[in-house]
Amino acid sequence: MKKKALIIEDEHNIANAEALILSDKYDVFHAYDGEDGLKRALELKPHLIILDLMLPKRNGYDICFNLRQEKTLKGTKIVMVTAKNQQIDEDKGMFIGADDYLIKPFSPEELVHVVEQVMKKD
Amino acid sequence: MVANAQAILHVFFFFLSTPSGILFKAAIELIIFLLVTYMTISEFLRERNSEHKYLFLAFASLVLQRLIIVLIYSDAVFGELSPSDVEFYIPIVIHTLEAFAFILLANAFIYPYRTNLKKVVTTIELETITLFAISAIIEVLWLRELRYNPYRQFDSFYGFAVFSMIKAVALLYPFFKILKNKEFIRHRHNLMTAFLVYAIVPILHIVSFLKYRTLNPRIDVFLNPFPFISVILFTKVVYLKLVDKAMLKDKLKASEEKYKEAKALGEMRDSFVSVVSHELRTPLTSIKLYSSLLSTGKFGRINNKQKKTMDIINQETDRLSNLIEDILNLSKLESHKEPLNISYLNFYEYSKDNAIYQLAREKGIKIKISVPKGYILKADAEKFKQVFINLFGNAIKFTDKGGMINVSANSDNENWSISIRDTGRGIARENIPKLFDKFFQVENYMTRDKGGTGLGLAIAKRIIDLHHGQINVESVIGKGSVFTVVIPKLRN
Repeated sequence: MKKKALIIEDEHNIANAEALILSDKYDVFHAYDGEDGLKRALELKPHLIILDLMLPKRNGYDICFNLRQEKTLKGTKIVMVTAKNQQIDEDKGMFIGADDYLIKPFSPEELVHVVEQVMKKD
Repeated sequence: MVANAQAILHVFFFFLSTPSGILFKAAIELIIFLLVTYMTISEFLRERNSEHKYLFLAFASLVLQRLIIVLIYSDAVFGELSPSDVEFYIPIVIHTLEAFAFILLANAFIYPYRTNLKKVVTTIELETITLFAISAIIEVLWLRELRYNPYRQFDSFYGFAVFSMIKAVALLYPFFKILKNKEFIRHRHNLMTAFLVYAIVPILHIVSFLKYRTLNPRIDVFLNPFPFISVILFTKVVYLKLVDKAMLKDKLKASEEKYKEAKALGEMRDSFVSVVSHELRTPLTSIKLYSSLLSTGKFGRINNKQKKTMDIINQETDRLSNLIEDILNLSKLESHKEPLNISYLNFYEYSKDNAIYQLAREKGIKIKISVPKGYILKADAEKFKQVFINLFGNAIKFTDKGGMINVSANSDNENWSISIRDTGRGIARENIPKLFDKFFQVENYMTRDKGGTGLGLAIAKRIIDLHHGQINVESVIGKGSVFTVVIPKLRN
């Protein structure tokens, strides 16, 4: 059985492309805003979450922080996606519990590489 | 002619010592002092600071003093009184008022570099009380003296010498104070001259008293112009001070407005640049992802021609994203928003092997690293790495197959210097100063097909500027170029 991946991304085009890239190895689910993302994550308990930073309703930091409080989601890997290439964002993302991050624009290879690295972690 | 002028001057001076002359002089001084008092009092009412309070009090007491003189002498000139009668009236009041004005003037003018206001107030109070006490004693003694000798002139009374001494001290003290204090730059000479010129009067009064036991008429005539000159100088200083202040205020206001404007513009640019680059990145991500997926055959097999086209789209997308990155970086560097994060960088380790060397090897360029073992420098490591990557990347771009890039590092007591030497095509001398300009690309040299953003050197220079260092360029057309980064050790 394939592992579950949740993509929380408000840009449909990007979300679809990510889904396409990950669909070989994962059952991919979508959420298009922060609130929905959080709800879906708690329902699905995915192995991987691709989390955009700038989201409607609740931002990526907020979601990441909340997800990390959930004991049932302990094994879930979170990859933060951001269009803000600033040191502070990276630090903050890692600090609140993201496993890795990607900076937009990224290539399919980069996404695959980062996901592989993150999933290898334990 | 000269003799004539001298005679006229002499007559004029003599006229000034007659009751009519004294009235004339006192009236003019009164008008000037009234003007200055008006100026200072209106300034004080607006500003309510102590300096202006003491200035206007000083000039007001001078106005009062001159007013009394004018009243007495106009009575003497136009009325029944004989001039000698004047001496029986209020010489002490006149002297006291004048001395009081000098004390206030001295404190008001030397006030700006006395920071302790309380101390200034205490000083003025103490000096004023002392003055009035002495005046009262002299008054009592003078009245007793008049009882025995009703025709005695105040000039021949020792009280006159005492007043002259007080005045001399009150005028010379600020003179020396200003002379000693070099910080007192504004109107220093005008003020010093004003105090000194006025001080001549009481000093010569003392000399006259010691020598003749009274005020010698010749000395009196000689002294006539001095207070007048001094009055004009004081007026000038007060006027200049007020003008200065008004100008300073205008300037301050103008610079404040400018600062606000610049700040607002800077903030707008900052947020504008970062918002724009964020907004640009989102569609760029889609383009990049889909074009990559297309070219890898995710949506069906593509032929060679299509593949080549997709590669061009991919390359240009990368270039666009690099450009956005560089613009954002440069904007951050220029806004000084990010402070340097100074740490130690083991440049020996860093330059021993670097991902960017792979690009050079792929192009068939040899690499030679001559960095001494354990070469460590102090800098913002991340930013310095970017400088190295940018310079090395340029060297790769402009060096042909079979060429060589040499990285070397030196240091002395003052600087770290790191050179990147290539055997590329070189840069024309006239283009070297323009190299670090934004988007500058030398024709036939940094042509667009080299794929640069045109910002790499501008970014490198900004980073090294932040380290108070410099980038030196030597180049010979056809032979190659050397870019040397020099960072001072002390400033970092």
